[in-house]
Amino acid sequence: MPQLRVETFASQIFWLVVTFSLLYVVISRIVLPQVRTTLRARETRIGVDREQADELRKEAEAAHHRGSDALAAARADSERQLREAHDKAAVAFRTETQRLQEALENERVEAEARIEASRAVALRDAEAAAVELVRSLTGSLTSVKIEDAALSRVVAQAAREKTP
Amino acid sequence: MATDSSASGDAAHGPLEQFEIVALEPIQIGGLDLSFTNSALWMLIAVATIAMVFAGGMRRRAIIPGRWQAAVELTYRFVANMLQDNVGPQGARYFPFIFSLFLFILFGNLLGMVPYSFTYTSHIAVTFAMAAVVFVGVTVIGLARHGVRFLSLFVPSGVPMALIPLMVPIEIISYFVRPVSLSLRLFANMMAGHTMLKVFGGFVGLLLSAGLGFLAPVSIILIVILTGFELLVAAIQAYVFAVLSCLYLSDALDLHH
Repeated sequence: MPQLRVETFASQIFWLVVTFSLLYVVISRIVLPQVRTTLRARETRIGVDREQADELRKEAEAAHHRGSDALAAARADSERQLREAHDKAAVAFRTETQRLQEALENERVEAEARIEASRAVALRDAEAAAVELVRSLTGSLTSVKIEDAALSRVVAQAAREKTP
Repeated sequence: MATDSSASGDAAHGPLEQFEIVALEPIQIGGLDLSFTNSALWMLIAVATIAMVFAGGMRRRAIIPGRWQAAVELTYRFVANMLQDNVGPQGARYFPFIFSLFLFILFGNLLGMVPYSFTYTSHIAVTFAMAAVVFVGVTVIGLARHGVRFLSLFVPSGVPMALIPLMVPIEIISYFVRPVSLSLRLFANMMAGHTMLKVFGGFVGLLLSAGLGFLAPVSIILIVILTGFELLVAAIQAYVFAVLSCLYLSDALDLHH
């Protein structure tokens, strides 16, 4: 078994020490520092990126809040304006209706007064016509001369009796 | 195992011949044979491969890594987590050593899977030297940190006084067996796997020469399966060696356990 050949041990151990020392130097002086700096740089970069992402996210949230606030304000404003316009229209409607009713009432009262006046005039004319008719009838049928005042009184009385 | 060749039927290459250490450049210093061997060559190749893979992967040091850089970072994080989980933050000082150890064993094991290569981790001298460094290092760290109180490691907590005379020798023995078990586990796994592959490879030649060539595919399929299995073992054994080193380190840093 070649493993038990003692005369090879010195050479094996000597070259083990030489090559392992070489490897140790290469690993500890060249490889490990390079890996460490790379990993550290990556961690720093990730940290910075994460911070930036956090900041941007906060900004976006703030912007979103601002937007929704503005939207809510605009909605409230539009509702208020709508309500105001509605109220104004209702008030205008009421005053206009009132004004028109008053005007109509006035016109009605005036019209009634006019009708009343016309009726009075018509009645007076009819009485006058009746007096004239009675006078001409009595004059042509008889020679009796009736006084105007008495005639008017009689005709007025008759008119009042006949009118229901 | 005493019979190196002739066991496989392939007379030229016995299953243990792959473990033969051959001097490529004989060097003698003070009566010691420090020849540059095939073992030393593959150690050098492993170190060069690791350096190329890891320094190459980090050449861009990109914030967003490519596949190569991601693989390097993944290995880094794998070992860093292993140390963090088993030792804690105070193990960070020993990270370069554990990382180098893990890679040295891992690449030694994996490169050993390349045909005609040499697996330096299949030699007890190498694995024991590594385990001894871990053992001595851990003991020195424990003594430097806790002084005489480090010996309380051998007195398990919560054991009745009557059992102390029994438990302390057991603990002491188990402590000193650590480097042996650590080195034997790796060496035995690597050697057994490679021997098995060679034996099944030898079967192919044996079957062909015996006129039973139609059975050769069975052996070849087994070799394919075993190769996959051996790749797994290569990675697992490197991991086990590193994890146990971490656990021993943790014992020395933290006495109360």
